[in-house]
Amino acid sequence: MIREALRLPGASAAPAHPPRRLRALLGGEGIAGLLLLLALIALAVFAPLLAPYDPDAFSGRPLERPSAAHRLGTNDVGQDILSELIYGARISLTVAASAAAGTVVLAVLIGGAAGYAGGWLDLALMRLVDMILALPRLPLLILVNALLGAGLGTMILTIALLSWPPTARVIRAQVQSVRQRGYVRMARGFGGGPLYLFARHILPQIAPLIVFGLVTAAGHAVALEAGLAFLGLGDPTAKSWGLMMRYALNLPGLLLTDRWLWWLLPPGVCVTLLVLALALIGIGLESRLDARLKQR
Amino acid sequence: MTKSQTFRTAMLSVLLIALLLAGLVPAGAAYQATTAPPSEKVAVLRLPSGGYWGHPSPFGFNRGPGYLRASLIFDTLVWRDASGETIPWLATDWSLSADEMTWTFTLREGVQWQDGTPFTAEDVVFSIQYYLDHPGTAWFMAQVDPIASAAQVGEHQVAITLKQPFAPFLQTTAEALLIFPRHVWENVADPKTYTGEGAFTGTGAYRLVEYSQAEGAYLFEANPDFFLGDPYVQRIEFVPTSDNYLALLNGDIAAFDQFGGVTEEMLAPFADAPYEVRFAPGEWGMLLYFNLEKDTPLRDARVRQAIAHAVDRAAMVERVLFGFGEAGSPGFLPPANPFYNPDVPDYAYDPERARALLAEAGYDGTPLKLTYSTDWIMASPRVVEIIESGLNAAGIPVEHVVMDQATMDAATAEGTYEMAVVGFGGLGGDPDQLRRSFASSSPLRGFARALGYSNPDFDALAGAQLGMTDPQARREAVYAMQTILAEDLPVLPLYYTARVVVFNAAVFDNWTYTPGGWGGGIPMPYNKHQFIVGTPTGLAIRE
Repeated sequence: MIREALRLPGASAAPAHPPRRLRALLGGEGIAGLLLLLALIALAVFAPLLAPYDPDAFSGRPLERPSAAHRLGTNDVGQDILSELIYGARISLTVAASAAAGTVVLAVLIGGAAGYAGGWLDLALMRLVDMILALPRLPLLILVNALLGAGLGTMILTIALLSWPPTARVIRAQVQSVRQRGYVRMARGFGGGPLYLFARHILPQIAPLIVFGLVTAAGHAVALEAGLAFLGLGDPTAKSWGLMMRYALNLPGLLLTDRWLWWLLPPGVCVTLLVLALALIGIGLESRLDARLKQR
Repeated sequence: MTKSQTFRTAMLSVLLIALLLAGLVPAGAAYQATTAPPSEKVAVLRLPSGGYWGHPSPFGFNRGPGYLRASLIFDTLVWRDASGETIPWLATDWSLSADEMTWTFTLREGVQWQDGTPFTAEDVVFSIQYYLDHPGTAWFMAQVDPIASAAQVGEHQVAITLKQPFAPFLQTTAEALLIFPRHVWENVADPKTYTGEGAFTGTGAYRLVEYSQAEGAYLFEANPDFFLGDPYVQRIEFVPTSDNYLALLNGDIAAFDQFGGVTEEMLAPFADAPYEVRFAPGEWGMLLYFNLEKDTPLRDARVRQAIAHAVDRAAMVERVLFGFGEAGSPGFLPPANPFYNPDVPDYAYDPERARALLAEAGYDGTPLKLTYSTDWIMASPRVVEIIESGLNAAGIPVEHVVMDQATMDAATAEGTYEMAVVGFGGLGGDPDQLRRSFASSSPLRGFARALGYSNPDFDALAGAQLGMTDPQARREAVYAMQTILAEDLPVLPLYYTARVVVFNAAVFDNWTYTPGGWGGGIPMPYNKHQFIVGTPTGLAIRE
């Protein structure tokens, strides 16, 4: 049935068995990504239990090589690199989660308003989308951080302010299509206000897009944060993986010895794993969403 | 990020290959093949730029590295060689009057500006008068305020009259003030930003070919008409580098210098020819400035003393410098300075004592703002970690104010900070710097100036030592000044970095650290004399 085919998975009428539904939603790659993400979240949550030392404590001499006491050696001021790595997950995930949440809230508000209201508001908001999409993100972030001063809050805010347009655009299209449907028009005819209609009828229809938006925004946020910290523009007190790499490379001649193996490589691998996890979930979601849309 | 990761991976692969090759090819073989025989001049000397240091006009440069660039184009009355002797430069002869109030300089004849205009005594008088009329335009290590006036007294003679006898005049004024052409600058309204015609015209051994703000690159070529002859190093390029150690091994640069933070492991690749390593003791300091102009708990000396007890300076030497340097002396001057007083009161690392002093001062837990730069050359983020952990342990909450170096230099000059981590060199130079930084009447503004500090005893000594030509009397005065500073602590010196220059001797071998620094006290191994002449002393250009 055409109507059935148009329905998006999040709004599926008869809920399937949860794991099968998850698999239907994410696919194999998506589940692999989810497991990886959960593992990294566990690392962040249980950091105090997993880390052998306080990451800020000077627990060894500077530049120790890996040993039983310090599995990944110590950094230039004698802090345990493994502990820094484990605690670093907290920063990366915090940035990912907050920036993604901010992005999606903006995207739903703006995309929803544009799609629902239409007319000049739609026109104005979509031109804003075009404008922000045309801006190069990393250079702009570098500029904003240099001007406003480095801070985790500023960084999250600017990432969110620059990342909402693609998601907003997709949400607008979906809202436009949903509000034309018979049952929505009928509900409006019976006196349903915009807020009621949005919450009761439209939101469920855009839920999968929101999840997808969250995942992609989180992936971008992780990479942007690591990039900025790596360039020395991050919050110097929030020891993220990107900042660890910056500190490692700040040691002159780092690459002339094998020191990079336990100091530079691990945070790099961690950033890669987190971005990979989010990308896998995103790919899983996207291909399932595409499949549904192609049935039209 | 994906881009920078790809880049990283590529870098690492390149490195692995380079390491493999390094085992097969004798180090420096490529250089020996391409370098001219040692009897000839050096064609190109490529040095790491370390960033953008302003434009190299007499007024447009920043800090020591900026002065270095400007000093290649512009000359001073006298200069200093690698033995620390004052040598003739634009002036061939100089003498001090019996009352020690007037210096007379006899200028070199036949010198030309790089645009062909003859250099005259008028240019010298104009330059000095210009510095007097426009306070704050002179290089911060060059002292203008002791000068009363300058006048031409013969066709090739200039007399500089002082306000009072001033012992360090040659080093801090005559060796440091850049002389610039009257015919260019008399019509310039805003000297700091002027980059128009003639802005880079000096009498110097090098002409500016080009510079790039975006890359921090500078390119100079020899001036064949230079008054001492055609310079030994024919071309000097300051190029951006990411890792100086790799760049030197790759032959991208011919030398680099570093302040502190060196380990044997890092220097191991440079143990054998053609590389050489030379060391010098610490004249570059990292210091914690307290702004006493602001109404904060820092105005109470006991709070500052508590901070001195709370900050583990020995840990900084171990963890930031890897032992390559010395802990700060509360008397400000480093052990490398001939006037260093080793017996000033010290503040051992003692958080308990710190807490007791804070309680005594009635400190109420107000957070203190700590301003510092994220400029990685300055290594300050690591220093900040150690300061913060010490202050937190003593019960002082710290708020961070982070800036880039140029903004930071402006903020420290304007006094918009509470505490600031400031790094600069020249602490091995003449001890009159104590007066300039700490005397309440000092006109100096800039990162070296301690703000809001006033102690009449210190001021009296600072004024007296200026005119003391008896070294023993002056030493005693300067010792007493250090003792007062150590008690009052308007600034807490954290550490002094030892210095190291690593170079490829097959390209250029004449590297030295000038005793007391050049240009008024710059502690870097880039004294232009060694590039121009090619030997540590003398004025004859090496053939």
